[in-house]
Amino acid sequence: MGLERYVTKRVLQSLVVIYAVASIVFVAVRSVPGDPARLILGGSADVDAIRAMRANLGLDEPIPVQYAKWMADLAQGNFGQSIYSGDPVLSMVANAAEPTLSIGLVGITIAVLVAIPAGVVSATHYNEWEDYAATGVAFLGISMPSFWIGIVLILTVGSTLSFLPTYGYASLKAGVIPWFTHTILPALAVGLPYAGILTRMTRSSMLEVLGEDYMQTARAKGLPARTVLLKHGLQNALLPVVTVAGILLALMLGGVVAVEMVFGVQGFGRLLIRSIERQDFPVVQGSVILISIVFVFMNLLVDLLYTFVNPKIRYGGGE
Amino acid sequence: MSDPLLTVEDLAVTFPDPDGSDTRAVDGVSLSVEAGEIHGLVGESGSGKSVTARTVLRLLDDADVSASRLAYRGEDLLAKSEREMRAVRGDEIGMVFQDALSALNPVMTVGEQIAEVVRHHGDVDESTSLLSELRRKYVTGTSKSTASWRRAVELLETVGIPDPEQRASEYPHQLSGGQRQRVMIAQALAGDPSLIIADEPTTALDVTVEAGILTELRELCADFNVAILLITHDLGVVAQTCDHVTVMYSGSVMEHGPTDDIFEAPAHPYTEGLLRSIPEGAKRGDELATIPGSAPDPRDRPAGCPFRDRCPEATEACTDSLPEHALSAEHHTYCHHRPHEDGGRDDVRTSPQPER
Amino acid sequence: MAEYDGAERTLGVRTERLRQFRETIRGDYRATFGLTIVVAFVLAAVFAPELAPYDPMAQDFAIMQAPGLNAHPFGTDSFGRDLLSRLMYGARISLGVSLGAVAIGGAVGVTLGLVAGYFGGWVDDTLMRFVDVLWAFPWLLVAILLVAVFGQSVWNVVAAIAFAYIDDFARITRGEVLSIREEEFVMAARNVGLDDTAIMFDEVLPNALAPIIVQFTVLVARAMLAESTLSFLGIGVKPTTPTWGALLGQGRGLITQAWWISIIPGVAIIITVLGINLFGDALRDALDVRERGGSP
Ligand SMILES: Nc1ncnc2c1ncn2[C@@H]1O[C@H](COP(=O)(O)OP(=O)(O)OP(=O)(O)O)[C@@H](O)[C@H]1O
Ligand SMILES: [Mg+2]
Repeated sequence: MGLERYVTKRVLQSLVVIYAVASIVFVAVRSVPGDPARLILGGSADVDAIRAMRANLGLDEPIPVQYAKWMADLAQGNFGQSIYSGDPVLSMVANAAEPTLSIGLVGITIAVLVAIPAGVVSATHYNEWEDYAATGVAFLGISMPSFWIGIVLILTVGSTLSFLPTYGYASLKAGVIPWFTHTILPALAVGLPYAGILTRMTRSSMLEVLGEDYMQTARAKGLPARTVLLKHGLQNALLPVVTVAGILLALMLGGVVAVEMVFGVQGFGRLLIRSIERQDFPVVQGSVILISIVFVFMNLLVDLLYTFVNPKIRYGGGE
Repeated sequence: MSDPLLTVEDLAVTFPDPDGSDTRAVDGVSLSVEAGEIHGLVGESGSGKSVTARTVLRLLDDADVSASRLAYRGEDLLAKSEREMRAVRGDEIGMVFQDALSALNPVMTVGEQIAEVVRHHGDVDESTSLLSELRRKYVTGTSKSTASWRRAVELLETVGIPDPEQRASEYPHQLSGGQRQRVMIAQALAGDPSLIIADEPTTALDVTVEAGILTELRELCADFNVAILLITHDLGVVAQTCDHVTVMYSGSVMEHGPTDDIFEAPAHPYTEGLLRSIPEGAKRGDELATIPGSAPDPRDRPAGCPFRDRCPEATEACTDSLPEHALSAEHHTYCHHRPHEDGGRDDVRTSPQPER
Repeated sequence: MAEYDGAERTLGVRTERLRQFRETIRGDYRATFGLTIVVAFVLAAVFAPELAPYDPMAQDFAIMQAPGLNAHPFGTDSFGRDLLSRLMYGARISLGVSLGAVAIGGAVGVTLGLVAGYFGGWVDDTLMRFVDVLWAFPWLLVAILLVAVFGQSVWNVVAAIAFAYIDDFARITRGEVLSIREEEFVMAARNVGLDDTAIMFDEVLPNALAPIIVQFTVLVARAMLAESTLSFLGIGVKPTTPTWGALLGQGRGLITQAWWISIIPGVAIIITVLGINLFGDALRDALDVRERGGSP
């Protein structure tokens, strides 16, 4: 299959998935026992308020009309409005996104920077102390909840290195240094479990690569051991790791949200939790769809990245 | 006669097994390859051909190797450090592996896989430091204007790949099986070696492609005066290609000598059996033969001749030693019952070749 | 030609594999260690009413936020409740929720994967697209949606986590089934005229179990982390329920005054998850299953 066709197919697939997600949320919301409007407003709300809410949510129209409107709104980027502030969900999420993205991306970067060397060393020193040390730490990493790591970081690093703030967030607009000092601890909390997962994956995939014929060929060509390992081995070892990168991003969301709470960061997590507490249903619902869309596209991106780093897919089959 | 290019004497290779019996994959192999010749190493699957080949380049880290002599141009290979071995691998001795698809790196252009050998062993002035190699691989890509790349393209042309400029920047999976094998050969040639070890270079290919590759090897041998140690289990290939042959069975050498002598007057019962099992070796009207039985387990190989359980002529003597007999200056066999004229072919039990 | 001896042959292979498996796992310190931890915590959870030194709800305002001392080895929380007892009761919910959720997600996912892989074609396409859709809902958001609609309860947590793991099980099962269905014994069973359901569950599934079992352990460990995250965020079980995550969450605001309230439940979570992971890793090696990524 040609690359273009593949990309087109994957994009279409992603759109279908998003369409299905939106439909499922639509059905789920309407299959809630009782009246969503009453649910949102609470049992004591008066009839007018409930009617207004039903109109606001579009519940007073026939189901097919509701569905069409719902889809049309989504297609135009209208994910609903907060019933408290009336702000559009999209802009609320966009405003809350910076801290969440900062923590997530710095966390991933830390994870990658730690995990790839650790995994490679672990594989090349299979069953030696380096391997045991790396896999041991990785094991510990994947067994700890991010938010707990956050708490421990606040208690230990935060109290010893006083220049690292343990509360709140500073926007990049306020300067790189305050941004970084505010981001680094939460990012560590989020990143360490991922470093654990990635280390283990890199290790097992590298172990497999080390046994491949082409690695022996490279040695038989008289290349130095490190050139063999890093030039011939690394990319092959990382290919399977890339395929799960999208899944890892999804995995990360829970971690970031909880870590935001630990560090008092006003990000997407805080927005979600507050919306639940206030029963701001449209915000919750809109966020779910929005995040699902982001996920689907992240996964698409990862897939395309994979085709790019894997010549077998990039240049189609031979023969 | 001057020193041979490669000398192997009494090579033994054992794979230790911490919780079982060790595998004696090679058990007393001797062979010598003269400069510029094509030397065949034949034997059935599992007889230790690949292990022998890899041991010459010291590629097997987990094996115990011993030999009374393992020398290339008179230099003891076993005494060399890993660093010194790197100057032999690719540079003096090139290697061609059996399955080119898995032996070539799937994520590197074939041009780069050849060019890197040129850089490390050839006559070009390009950095081979780890950092510059990594930069080439992951950042800049291979520059098409470097001498090493041009040499790679040239080599592809030499081994008979059409449109070499274009092919050089393709990946192994984009090439056909025969072309991939040619790339392997180009890669082995890239360091201007005096010896190429080709481990079953044609087993994965179909017959017409195989013939092309063998012709290629013969021509290279003549044009570049490079010696080839051609490993195969196919006596037909040997007959077409090789000057000398060494016949292996279950880790040991059974017979070696000039190809013509071996084909005309095989001395060892095993060689006779082998010859009979190939169409070219069988006289018209002969039934194609297989040798009944199977080779002993390398974990638990008895002393004496490893072939004795399958040998029609085996006697008590075969259980304790494997004596060498010279039939001529070059033609030697390892057998108690040779040389003498009786007990020849007709005694070899034959059975019809089972349908494939 | 194809005579049906699938059942016996697979049985023979299976007994042999089982024997090998037992041998490998017995000699594996990770398995021993991991299993010991898990069994200890399960026992502590099951026998919490007998073993716990205090009523987990009993408040004692004389010793609020006390650090570990003889009467309360793990200290007390801000209502003077004994942390050790609360941990033991909490283990019941944390372990129960994780096991239950993964079992439900597993049952659904394995069935989906089995059907998709076995029938292939449009069935496969449809089911796997559906699984893609499931994948696109991050578990946390599912939980949030459920809580937003139904309010806090243990069942929401179970449902959200189960939901999130369906796609993992489905994909793994499908992958296995795709290769198994081409094997001789399946062909033979088909030739003999066994019906698809029988072949799927009696012939194919047992041979696909190894990676599923490994995935089960991995996901139970992850589910424990997920449950603790949800409870910590206050969108899991009701705040009064003493799960480990909830205990930890109560300590969140008190880190500087009473660190043990959040640190000790965290340690309990880590040890348990570590135990399950170690055991799962030993299983993975013993069953010779490849490492792969997965869901939250
Ligand atoms: N790394 C290893 N560890 C243990 N045993 C090995 C190893 N490599 C090879 N062997 C054993 O050594 C013996 C000889 O193997 P070798 O690969 O040299 O055979 P071969 O003659 O090349 O056969 P083929 O024609 O199939 O390539 C075999 O019994 C094999 O199982
Ligand atoms: Mg071989």
